[in-house]
Amino acid sequence: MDNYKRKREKQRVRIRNKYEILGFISSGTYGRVYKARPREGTQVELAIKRFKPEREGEVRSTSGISQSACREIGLCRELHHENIIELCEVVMDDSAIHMVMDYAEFDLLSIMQHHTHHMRKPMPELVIKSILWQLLNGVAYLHANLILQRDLKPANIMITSSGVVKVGDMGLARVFRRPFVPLYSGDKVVVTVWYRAPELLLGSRHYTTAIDMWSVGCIFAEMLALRPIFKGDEVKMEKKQVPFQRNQVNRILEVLGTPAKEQWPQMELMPDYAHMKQFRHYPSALKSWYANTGHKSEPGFQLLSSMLEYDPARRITAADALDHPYFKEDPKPTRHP
Amino acid sequence: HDACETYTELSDWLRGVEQRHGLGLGLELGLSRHPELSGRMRPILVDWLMEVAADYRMHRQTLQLAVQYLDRFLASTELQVRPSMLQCYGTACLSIAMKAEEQRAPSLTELTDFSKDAFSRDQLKQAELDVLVALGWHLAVPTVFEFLCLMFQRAALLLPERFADPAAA
Repeated sequence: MDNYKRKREKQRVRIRNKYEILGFISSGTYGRVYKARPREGTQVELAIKRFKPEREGEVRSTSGISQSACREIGLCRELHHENIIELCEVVMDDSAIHMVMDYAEFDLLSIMQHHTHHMRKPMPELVIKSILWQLLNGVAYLHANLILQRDLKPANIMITSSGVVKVGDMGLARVFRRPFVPLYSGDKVVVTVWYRAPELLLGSRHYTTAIDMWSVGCIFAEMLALRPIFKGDEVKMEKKQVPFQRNQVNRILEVLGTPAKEQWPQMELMPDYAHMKQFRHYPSALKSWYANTGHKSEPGFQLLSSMLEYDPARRITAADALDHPYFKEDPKPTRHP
Repeated sequence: HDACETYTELSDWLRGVEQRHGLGLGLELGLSRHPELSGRMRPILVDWLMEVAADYRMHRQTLQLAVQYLDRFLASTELQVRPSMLQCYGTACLSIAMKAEEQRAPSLTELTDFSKDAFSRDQLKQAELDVLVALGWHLAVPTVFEFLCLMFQRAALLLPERFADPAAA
């Protein structure tokens, strides 16, 4: 038995012996993220996510290794793509599990804020197109590998200083293991409300790739207008009941119009469809919304509309979106805008 | 015949993942690395894991995953597993599989209670880490369950009359 322990001690690397912590990036329920640099070898910057030790001391019945770490690391371990944040290493020391990941200087949220507050002008079309194309490229890779990201939003889209987009934060992502069986997720409701697809807002419990594509559409729109397209007020969860997001639905109707039956035949079967009667009828206003952003590309408008299709079955897939005429029209997207 | 194409694509994809992880190498190899373990011990352990899985009403694939973790762990760990610790490692595999697949995973204390304290909570905690290191954190991998699902779905497409729902007739 002592032999095992010695062997284990040798395997154990201390995170601070191997990496120099340069600063603090963010903190969440899962733990904290730091910026770091390896002490030896090539000088690259990395992000280290330190999972909170599992309720140490507080409850007598410890639960061992954290469930969120198991899920997130387990997934990221299988992902290797230029547009997905890469997991370089998992380091366990006495106190916690650490994910050592690619570091990206910027995220899309801060880039958009920079354009709004400092430059006070829209993002150039070339930049929008290049970011959108790479985002779709990453999402198409996830979907081809039967993974749903489930929380796409500007803050989760990382961009390196050389302009490479990396989809990050796989904390909520799930594999849809049985591909032909619809995925029911009893986990908490996912997707930040502004980026939440209409079928989720109407109570659907089936998570599909179309849900990620709605979020991509919202992000595309946000780059065009430099403000969220559907900026609803979130109704907070009460007594563990998932509330109907009335304001969010209204925001969508104001821009896209009230969906006609033939536009979304399955809508009437949605669990929360009854709520739809409380809204007045809106005509579609996406065309004028798009014109107001000052962008003129017709294929751009077509692509946006096909991402914001009400009917998830008709919404464009990531793979098809990559082939869209918008990307064949000048200015053509580049990898490093 | 789109569905059949999808089937072929999916099963190729699953097989690719399987090969990348050297799954299906056989348990013989795993057991041979631990001279104190005998071939009888694995089925006894798996029986017991099935009991725990039934008690927690786990999804089938969770148990499949746990057994696969166990075989991979035995085949790749640098540690030598003693018979007295086999149940502890089996439980650790189950615990990790539940964390990866199920919405709720039981606490380590619940699991040691289930084993009637055959091992301690600290031993189980350490065993989880040992298993994760040996598996290289490759947790989201297909099991025989995914292959079977695909095969049945394909069979149902090809021979609809044999797979008709008797209740519907």
